Amino acid sequence: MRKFIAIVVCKLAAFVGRLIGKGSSKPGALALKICPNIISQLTLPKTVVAVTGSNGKTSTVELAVKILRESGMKICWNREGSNQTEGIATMLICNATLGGKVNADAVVMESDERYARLTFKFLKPTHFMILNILRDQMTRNGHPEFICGKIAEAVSSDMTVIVNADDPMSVLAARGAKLVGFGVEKGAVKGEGKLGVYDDGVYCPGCGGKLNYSYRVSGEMGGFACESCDLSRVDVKYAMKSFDEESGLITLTDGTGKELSMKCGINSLYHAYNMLAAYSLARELGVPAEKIEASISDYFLTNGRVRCWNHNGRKLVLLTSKHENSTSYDYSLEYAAKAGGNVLVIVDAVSRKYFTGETSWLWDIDFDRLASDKVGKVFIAGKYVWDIAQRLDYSAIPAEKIVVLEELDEITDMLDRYSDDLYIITCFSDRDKFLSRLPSDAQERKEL
Amino acid sequence: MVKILHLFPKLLNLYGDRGNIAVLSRALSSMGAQVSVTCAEELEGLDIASFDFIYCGSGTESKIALAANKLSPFSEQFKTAAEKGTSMLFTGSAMELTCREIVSEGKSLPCLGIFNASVRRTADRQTGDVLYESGLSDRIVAGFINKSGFIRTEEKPLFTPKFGPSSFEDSHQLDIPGEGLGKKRVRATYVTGPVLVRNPWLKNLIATELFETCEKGRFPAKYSDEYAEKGWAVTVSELEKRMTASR
Repeated sequence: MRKFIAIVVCKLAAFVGRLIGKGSSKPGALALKICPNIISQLTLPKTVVAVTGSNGKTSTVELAVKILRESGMKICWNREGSNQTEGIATMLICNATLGGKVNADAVVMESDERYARLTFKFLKPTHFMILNILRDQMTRNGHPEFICGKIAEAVSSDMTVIVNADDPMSVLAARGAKLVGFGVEKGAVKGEGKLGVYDDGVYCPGCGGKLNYSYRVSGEMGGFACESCDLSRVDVKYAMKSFDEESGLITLTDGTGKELSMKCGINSLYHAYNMLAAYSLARELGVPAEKIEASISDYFLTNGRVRCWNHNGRKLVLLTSKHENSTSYDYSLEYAAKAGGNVLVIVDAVSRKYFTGETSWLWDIDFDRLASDKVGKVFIAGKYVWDIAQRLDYSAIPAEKIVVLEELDEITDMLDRYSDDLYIITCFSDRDKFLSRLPSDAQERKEL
Repeated sequence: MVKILHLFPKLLNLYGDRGNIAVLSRALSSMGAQVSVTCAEELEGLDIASFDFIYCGSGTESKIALAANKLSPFSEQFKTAAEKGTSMLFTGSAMELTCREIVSEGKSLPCLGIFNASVRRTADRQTGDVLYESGLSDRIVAGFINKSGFIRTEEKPLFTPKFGPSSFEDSHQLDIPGEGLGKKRVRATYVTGPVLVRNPWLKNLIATELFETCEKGRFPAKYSDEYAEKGWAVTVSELEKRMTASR
């Protein structure tokens, strides 16, 4: 009876929530209050996938779900990205009958790095994908080794772990499980793997020994092996054989010798990794390569993290990047620097979920990338504009390129005065502060 | 010449700690001092006494253990330098390295012992924005704490919390008001990241001490701290609002 009441209450609350535009975790929280083990009482499909990691969860899940749906599978997934236990309860119950049977061929859920171990007590995935474990939201997450330990607690021998073989921390977290590796092959990315202002690939996260690399893809990602213990890049079943920075073309292979070429909807290595992850998951679930190509080649994500507008003959490109996450910022800066134009960085509220005035993370970001000749002005704005100003004062960006906007409303004037393409780099917490100042005659595009 | 030693910039560099060396070096240069920065991942061959300022930043618990193993054979050199008045700054979890030992899961890990203090690690983390008062200035320390340890000692704390977590405990009580340790010119605090970036007054205090010691008789040139001062004021103002709201 509790189960039935919990399901009804959750469905009703979700219905009301949709009407008033409220979040997706509250209905699940109510259901869990009424029936604490409601998730384990549901009848699930035989395939349950959880995707975790510091960066790329939402995008990878969107790509994977698109492939799986277009290959004919009915998928239950957390499209709103609510990835803690309550959000996952909402997702499952809203897709279930009143009797508790989840109406889907598979569940694909984004899972919070810290909470996966708790969610899995109720809902053990058949496939657990670990994308990466990087510096992210230290105010909430402590540090990457702490998160690695939490993810390791979620891993068990009765699940298939699809792991980023290039990432030492992800491989460490996945140890002991049945592993399927995906990764970028040596030579796939031109030149030396780019490091930011720090290098988390010097010391082994397992034993503290020296990590050696046969090649680097980016940051600590690459062909790593510890000098002192057995932690090393695991065998790769799904590989990226090439990534062309100019065209955004990637070549993927599943180890059978058959290659698949696709175009990244967003031309960056960051997105290419997400494409590889989605491809790996879909292939592992039996989707033919051709169907994957048809689904996601040149696909522009709809999750709103990257948006683009035409305005007065120039492009405005919003690159939503996580504050407190230097990797996310570095990729956005790289993208903007490569494309060329002006850049606007906004740091007004550090987080949308909690208060903090912590800005140390600005010093982990490689702002030197904006010293490129292709970048015109670098506008900075938001409550913490002086912290950004100080950080940029210690970067290679020439001082004359930096423009401090002391008030957010100066963004409107800046949009009028400067006519070059503009790349807006900010977080979910500050995205609306730009969107609310977007000129009304800006026309949204469905591509970059 | 001001000789700076940056200890373990690769091993212990979790939250933008390198910013501390960047701003301190520039401040000293702007004042007119020559500055040399030595980065060291190993201590063999280093003459600790030859440095005017030693800095060590934060790291994960396992990396702090590695650093402790590297440092502890040199504890006498550090203690002697501290007694002679060498300026040192340990930030974030590196604060623990200045203590006698770190106790974790019943095991004791020997550290430098500059302070007669013991750190007890817990399974939980304490995180939060902080405002601390100090006897160093009438200005306030703004920053962030992200730690898993508590300090047990008879020594006096470096800072007095106005807002945010404390770091001291005894056998009866957790969270006794007090944070960090200070003696002569050695300052050790759990406040993490680019502490000197975010608190320009503390950077200026250390820079002035170093200039007066190393450039005796010279008059320091003035330099602008506009961005840092404004950034600090915003952070303090925001945290004071939180503090008021939480009462």
